[in-house]
Amino acid sequence: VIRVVIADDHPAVRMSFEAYLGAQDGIEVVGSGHNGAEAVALARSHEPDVVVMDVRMPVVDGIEATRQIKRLVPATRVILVSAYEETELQDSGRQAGADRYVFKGITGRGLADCVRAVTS
Amino acid sequence: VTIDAVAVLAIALLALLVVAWTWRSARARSREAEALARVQLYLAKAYAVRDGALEASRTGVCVFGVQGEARFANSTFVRLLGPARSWDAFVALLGRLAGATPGRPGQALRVRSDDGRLLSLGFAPLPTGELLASVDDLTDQQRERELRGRLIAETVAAQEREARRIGELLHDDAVQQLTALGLQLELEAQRSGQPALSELAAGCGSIISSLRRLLAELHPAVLESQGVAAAIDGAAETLRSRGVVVEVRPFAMRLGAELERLVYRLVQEALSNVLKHASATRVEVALTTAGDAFRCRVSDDGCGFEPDSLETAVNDGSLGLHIVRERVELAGGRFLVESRPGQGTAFSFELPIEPAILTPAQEDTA
Repeated sequence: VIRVVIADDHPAVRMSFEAYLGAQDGIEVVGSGHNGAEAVALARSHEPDVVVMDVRMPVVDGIEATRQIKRLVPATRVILVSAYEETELQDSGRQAGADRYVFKGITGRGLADCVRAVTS
Repeated sequence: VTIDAVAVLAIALLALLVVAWTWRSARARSREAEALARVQLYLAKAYAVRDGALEASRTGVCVFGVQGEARFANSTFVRLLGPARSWDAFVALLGRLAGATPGRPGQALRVRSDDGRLLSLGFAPLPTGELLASVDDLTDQQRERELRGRLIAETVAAQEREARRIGELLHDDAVQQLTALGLQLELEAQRSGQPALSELAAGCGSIISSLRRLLAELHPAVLESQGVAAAIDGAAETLRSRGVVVEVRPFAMRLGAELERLVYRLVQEALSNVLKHASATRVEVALTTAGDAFRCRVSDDGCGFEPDSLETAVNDGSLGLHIVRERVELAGGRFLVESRPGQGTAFSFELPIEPAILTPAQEDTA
């Protein structure tokens, strides 16, 4: 089972990510948070296989959270999800250590495939 | 008797000759005097006309005679520079205000007067051998230019703020709600096996993609990081997604943040017009600089239109290009639309730039 942590400041998005990924075979959502700081804390406590999180979040954004997670829990894969297509953000995400950068609008199936791909 | 008579006759004749000569001389002198008086009157009138014209001029002027004496100064000259005395005094005044000599004839010299006004000074020789010194007050003109610059900057900044606000609203609300809705629909489709729900979920995805493009257009971060050509290339994606080939020619120079935002918004409006009206298959955007001007040309191979119909369109309430023209002219630039029905459209504008703000693009080290 692939253990996943989700972080997004928008409740509806967070809940739908949880609901969709949690309903997929072989994926278990072990925690969810509202911001980057909570994502880092959940990653430390749960040591999940994958963290799926938004890029722009309050307190600590997804880029900085990725950097911290990669330092604290190197085995955890990070998938950043954003509505912004700017190359700079994508580059920043990759430089911080994100394994994937996908856009909001990705289908649930596409996201689930992505989760499986980064852990395979 | 005969001899006496001849002598008297001779004397009388001589006297007559003397009287006639004297009378002719006096008459000639009188005519000369009259002519001289007429010339003097004519000259006085001519000078009066000249001085009257110079007095009416908005430019301050002073005429210095061949000996350097001030012969006439209009009231504007006196108001701006004080009473005129002599050419030497004028040169000394220039030296004090600008630390400069008058320079070449016809060359304007900008100085600050004692009361802080911006003045343009110059001089030119007259055919009479006199010298004409001139002074123009540029203070109001400069204020107007500064005011116009601030107005444009504030207009562009307000537009940017509004774009950012709309972008944030779209991002924080519409995109998130649609993302959640799409995932819920997809999950329901998975559970119930209803293909209609899958189609609805896919529709949400398409709308989100459109909104993402809109977000990028509303606040193109690439404009700040990579410059105007890269941002325009990004804005062209909307046209490209409709099958239009858009070529943005390379332009490596940086223009300064304000001008780049203005140029980006102007080209964005032009591309939007192409999308809405042109039915084009190919669009070319060319950005260039020449001396102290930045030039941009957006040309397409679309349906074109009668240029006169642009005014009709404005009267009918279609304000897009009208606003573009206003903004270009407010920025001190020129705007031109060339078009013929069936022969495409070329939209071009030219904006003044300070050469100092031009910088080469940074090397991309990424």
